[in-house]
Amino acid sequence: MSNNTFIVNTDNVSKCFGKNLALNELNLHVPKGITGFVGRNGAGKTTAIGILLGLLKPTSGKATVFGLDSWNDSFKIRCRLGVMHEINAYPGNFSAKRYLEHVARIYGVSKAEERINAQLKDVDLWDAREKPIKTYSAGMIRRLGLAQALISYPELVILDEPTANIDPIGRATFLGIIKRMNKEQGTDFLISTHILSDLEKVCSWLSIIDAGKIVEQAPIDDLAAKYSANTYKIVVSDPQLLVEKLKTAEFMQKVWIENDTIYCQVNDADRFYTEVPKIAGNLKLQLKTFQLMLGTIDEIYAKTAGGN
Amino acid sequence: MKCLTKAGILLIVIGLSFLVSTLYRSTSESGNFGFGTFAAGLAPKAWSPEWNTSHPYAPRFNKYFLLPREHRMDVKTNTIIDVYVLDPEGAHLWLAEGKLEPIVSFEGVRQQVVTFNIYNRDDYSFLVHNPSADAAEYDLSVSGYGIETDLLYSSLIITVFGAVVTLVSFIPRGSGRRKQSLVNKKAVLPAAVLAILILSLPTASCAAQFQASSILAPSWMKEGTYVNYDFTPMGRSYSNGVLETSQELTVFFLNGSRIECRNVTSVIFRWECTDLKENMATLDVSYSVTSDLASDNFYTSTLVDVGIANRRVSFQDGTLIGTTNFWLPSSPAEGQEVTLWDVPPDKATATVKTKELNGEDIFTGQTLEEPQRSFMFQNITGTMNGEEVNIGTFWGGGMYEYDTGLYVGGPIRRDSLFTALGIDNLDIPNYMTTNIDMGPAKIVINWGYVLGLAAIVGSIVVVVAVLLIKRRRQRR
Amino acid sequence: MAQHKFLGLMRWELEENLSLPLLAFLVASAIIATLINYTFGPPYREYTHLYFSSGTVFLISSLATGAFFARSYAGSIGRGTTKIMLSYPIKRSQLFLSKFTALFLVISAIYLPVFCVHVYVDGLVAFGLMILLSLFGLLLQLMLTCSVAVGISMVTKSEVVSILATVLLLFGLDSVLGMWDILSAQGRLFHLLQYFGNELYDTLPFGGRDTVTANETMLAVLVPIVVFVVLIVGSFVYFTRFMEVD
Repeated sequence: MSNNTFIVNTDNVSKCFGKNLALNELNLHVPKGITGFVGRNGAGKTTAIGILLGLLKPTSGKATVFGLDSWNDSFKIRCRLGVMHEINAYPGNFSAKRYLEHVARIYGVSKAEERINAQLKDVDLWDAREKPIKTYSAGMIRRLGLAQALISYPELVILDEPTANIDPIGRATFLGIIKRMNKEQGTDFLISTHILSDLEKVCSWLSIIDAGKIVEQAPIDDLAAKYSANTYKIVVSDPQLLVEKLKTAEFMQKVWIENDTIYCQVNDADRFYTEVPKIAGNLKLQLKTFQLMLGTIDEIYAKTAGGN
Repeated sequence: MKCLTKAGILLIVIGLSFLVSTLYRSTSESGNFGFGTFAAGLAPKAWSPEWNTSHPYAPRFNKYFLLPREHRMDVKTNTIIDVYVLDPEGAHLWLAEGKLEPIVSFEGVRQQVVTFNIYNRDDYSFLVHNPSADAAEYDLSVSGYGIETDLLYSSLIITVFGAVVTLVSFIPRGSGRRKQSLVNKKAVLPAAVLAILILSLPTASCAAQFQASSILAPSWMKEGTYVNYDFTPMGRSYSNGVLETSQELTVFFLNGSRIECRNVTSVIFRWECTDLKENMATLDVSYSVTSDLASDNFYTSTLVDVGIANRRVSFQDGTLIGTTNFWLPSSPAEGQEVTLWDVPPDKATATVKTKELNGEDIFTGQTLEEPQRSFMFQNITGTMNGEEVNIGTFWGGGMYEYDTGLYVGGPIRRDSLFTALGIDNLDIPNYMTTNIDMGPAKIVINWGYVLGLAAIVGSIVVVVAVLLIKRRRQRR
Repeated sequence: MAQHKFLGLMRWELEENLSLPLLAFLVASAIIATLINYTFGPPYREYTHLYFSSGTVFLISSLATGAFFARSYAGSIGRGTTKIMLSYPIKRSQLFLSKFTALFLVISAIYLPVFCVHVYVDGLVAFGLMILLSLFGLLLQLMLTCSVAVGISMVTKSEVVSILATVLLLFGLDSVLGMWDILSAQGRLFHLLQYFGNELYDTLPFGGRDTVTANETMLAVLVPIVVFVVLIVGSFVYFTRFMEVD
């Protein structure tokens, strides 16, 4: 994919805080769709987001959002963005409704009252809308954060740890809203999170950062295929018979049976693909399933950033 | 919270703030002015000022801006007078038409303190009439006390109005508002508690609390103790544009005589304790004038007995002269009463003042080599030699060293020690020397300056420290 | 639209940093500062009363102004509110100016009229030149205080430190300079009253003190204005062009 197809691009962006190199020639590309942005604590995710929002200036390199320079054209970018930060310091004496009214006014949202009410219902804050924010739980504050990020129908929404402190049902609701907004409104998302299982459900693109550098980024399917564990699943009429034969095969690393299904890890995929059907045919076995098992995001993360 | 509730609470806060300030202001006097007659006094049956506008020098009233408080007027006069308090309209009527329409009248007052209330802030004038057949000398001093009623009423009205507005805001206008009014009640409760707390605070009082000094007998009085006061004349004058110092001295005696001394080089008044008994000290009191001209030298001395506790001076034959104020009780408290004259049936007292107007201790360095904490006296009342006394009797009063109570300088007039020598009065001393230990000099520190400097340095240190800490964190 | 947004930001600022308890505190401090430093001196309608009564007003208004501005600028940065606001389509210049305008207007709108209570309490001429000069002196002090608070806030980005440093610096300067100095708050007022009283009414309001020259009066007025301009412009440039928020 060329840079023109990405809505966010960082070109060798580095950021130093004193002697601390937070970003080291970061080349982040975020396409349209829902992008997961993962990395360990201190990898540089929040710093990268700060640069994209124009809150931090790159020490070197260039960052663009929608083709606009993130520091010099920050205002134009923010007109098209919605943001939910990891730490949400909303004014405690405001109510959720009042706060959203202010945000809506800033964005110039038309029919603001309707939109605010819809958002509050969407994030399940309708009952608490008149209470001061300082009385909210952490999860409620997160939900308010999502509401204010989406209130203006932005083109791109940046979410930093959106599902932290939210119960499983709440997280499912969150992710449902994200998927719906992406599908119905065409809103793009950049989600920075540690909860990898959430990304699997929604993301189409994954960017992995470690020590201030992008270690891997690509469509999630490609990454899954690349970093899968080379594990194959075989379902035959007589698994025990086939396993005895496969155990002695040179191309086989490991083979075992679970619930009448054969799992094998191979060291030569080509030979595996050609030999196994022959062996099954020779044994007069019925070959029902013969496929590669794709890797999870956990596996991808573990093999790229997690193992360093 | 509803806008009306907020407005009501704000009004309550405004009202209570006014109330607190008004109560605080009530602890201090206002006005503190005085006026009186000069020279010949007010002629019999005369008015001050006269209302006859045909007079070439059109009379004017002095206007005094009085506050709506209770006022006290201390009247001192040698006869009886009538005093009228006029508002601006009354002053105009008097001057223009001779009509008397006072707001307050005091007729036939002699030596007394009267009180009157002023209800509006405005300029007021005082008209004095002498109904007697003698010339009236008078001295009136006025001061205001208590709460300024206009501020008090305003604060109460605002507070009550605010409370009404707040309560009105709670009136439910439908079942849907119940929850909201409950939320508002929670907000008002702390405000109500605050209001109650503030209203129940006792009125601030700045009344001086003092303990009578327990040191009546000076511990420094011993045989051989002496004090010298230098009264060498330092008069300066210009002659043909050249500054000259005048070394002439005139000594006035009680018998009406006087002597003129020229080319005076030294004038010393000295007392020395030559004998000390349990409650009586014998002092050798002397006055010497030294001149370049032998004929103008002068010296006189006498022995007197002085009661150590009561400071009564008497000749050695027991003839009572009076009270000396060459020392007073030491370490007095602010406002403590001291006796200046105690020769029955006469007694004159005053109160001690140890603080300047700005609250700082009074210091003197004019007669001592180094500044010592001192005190003065004020508010003189009583009689002396059958006559009422006032501050003029003592020429304003002198300065006394705090730890010893010793007179160190300033005006001192008609003291019994002068009387013992037959001298009428002396000038203000230039300095004094003594073998009495006055304790360590007071180090006069301008705390405002020191603290201010520390604050500036502190602020710079704080900012720099924060910057350094942040930089260090970044490096980590 | 831009004006609408600016007013909206001002409203946000007032709702966030000048809620009712704080507003009530501000009003109470103004009233108490004005009235408790009374001058029960000679019983005349004298403008010198404004000078002698102004000490507490200057002190408390400086404390309050410094605290509120530090809370708004440094406090917002420290709490993370600035980071959130700068994630919205708000220009940095709009944010900076809306904060300043909202707070300055409200604080001035409280302290200046309350100070005018002296007109009634001391029997002075309403809208007289001397009153206006006193208000001008108070305004200069508010300007100086807020600019110092904003400047320190930009440097420290910490609410408590900013308040502390601002208060210490202003209190220290006035204490060291004294109440008659040309650069102190009360000294500034003295110079204004003495100069204009002499020039316009041919009388020295402070009879026991020397006359004041035009240059001295100009200096007394210009110094806080220059300091205000330098600090605010410098803070504005830093906030809009260089400040990073993390």
